[in-house]
Amino acid sequence: MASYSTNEFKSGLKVMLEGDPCNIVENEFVKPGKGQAFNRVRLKNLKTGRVWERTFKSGESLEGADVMEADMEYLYADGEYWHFMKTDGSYEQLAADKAAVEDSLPWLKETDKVTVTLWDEVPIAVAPANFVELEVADTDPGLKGDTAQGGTKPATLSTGAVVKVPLFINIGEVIRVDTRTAEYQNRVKQ
Amino acid sequence: MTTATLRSAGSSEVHLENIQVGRQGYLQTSPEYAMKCLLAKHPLSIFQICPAYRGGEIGRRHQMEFQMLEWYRCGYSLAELMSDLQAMLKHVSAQMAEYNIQPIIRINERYSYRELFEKHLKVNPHSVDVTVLAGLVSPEITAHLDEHATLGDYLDAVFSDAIEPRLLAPTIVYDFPACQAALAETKQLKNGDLVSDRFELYVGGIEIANAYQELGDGQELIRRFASNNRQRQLSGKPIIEDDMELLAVIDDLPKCAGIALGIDRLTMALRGLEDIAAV
Repeated sequence: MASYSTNEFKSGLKVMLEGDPCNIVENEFVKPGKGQAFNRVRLKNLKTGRVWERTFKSGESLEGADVMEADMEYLYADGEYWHFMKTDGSYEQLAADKAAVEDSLPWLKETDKVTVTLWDEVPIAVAPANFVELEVADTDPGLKGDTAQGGTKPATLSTGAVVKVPLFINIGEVIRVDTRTAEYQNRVKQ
Repeated sequence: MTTATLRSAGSSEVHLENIQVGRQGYLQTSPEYAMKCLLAKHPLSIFQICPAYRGGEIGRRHQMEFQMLEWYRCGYSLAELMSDLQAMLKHVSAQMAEYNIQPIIRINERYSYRELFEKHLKVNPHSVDVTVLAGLVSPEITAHLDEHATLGDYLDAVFSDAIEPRLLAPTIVYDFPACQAALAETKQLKNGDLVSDRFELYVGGIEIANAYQELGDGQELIRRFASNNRQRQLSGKPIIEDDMELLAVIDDLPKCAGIALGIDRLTMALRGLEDIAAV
């Protein structure tokens, strides 16, 4: 894999840092007066999702990381691994471990389309679609006529996720949720 | 007037990366050498707007190619050049008013480098040592400095973190430390401080212009080039051969003050832009 010097750093570039693949979020070139320049870089660790802030001397370099994203369909879980299939026509199947899927588990429904981050062809992260449709598994009984007040109540979805929903939502109904904010969007007519 | 932007010698300034064009020469980091060669032969006040190139400088405030306005006033002191700069900014502001752009107000702040250090950090920059300087800021501010870093590098790092962001209103900073003289004359102040006869203009927390009482002493220039190259060698940077064309005539340089102003950055400041790429 090629290595990249600080002046090639740009947001979206995938590099290795401390053994983990990272995505460069922001790269700021700083040159104090006539002094030595440096780069203040924010990188997102693609395995943990944590954002690191590091300072590099200008001209320093980092190994590139063989990271790519693939559109895949979630198939099933076997208790240890979660299985996904590529939707590019190859039908290639890959298994992801718990660390890779953990963050998206609340939104993962079989046959849903997801984006899988592959590092050296191994899944390291799974991102659900921005909006998913999930069935309400449990919530307090609906209160008719209370819609105008805009009150909310917690509802447990089929995946186990808990989101706030309007009072008129009942068990068995399907709702649309924004996975980035875990917010209820609307009721989906079946 | 215009001068060639491709030159046989580069700049030995330690922290400038020259862009070399094959074996044909270097793209100028500023038109300074070429303009001084002209001044030495024809002692007339001159100006030009031209591109300047600095390798690896890419960021919100930096571009590898940018537009520079550089001018020299024969017989001027730095104080006279400050007034000259003020008049120029006033003129530009008046022109911009037609486009509903908030003009640069007056340069109403003038501080010596020492005053700013004493005001914000309670130390005298002309006598402070590296250990004390490093202790004034958080560790990541000096994290990029290695064992070859000079006092000047530490002063720059501390100044850019603790002082520069506060220079929001148009501010002139003068009497820089002697170790940051670059191509300016040095002088001893009445209080004993040895300083370089330079000033810079800051607007919105960024450096806009840089001015020198120009050094016209060939022997001293050779010493400064050599010192730059020693520092370059320590940091593993390419050695830059002395600019012989400049050295051949520099002793004939008339007394003059010169200034370089970044036009892209001035535009950023005038229009309140966050990114130089938006200029």
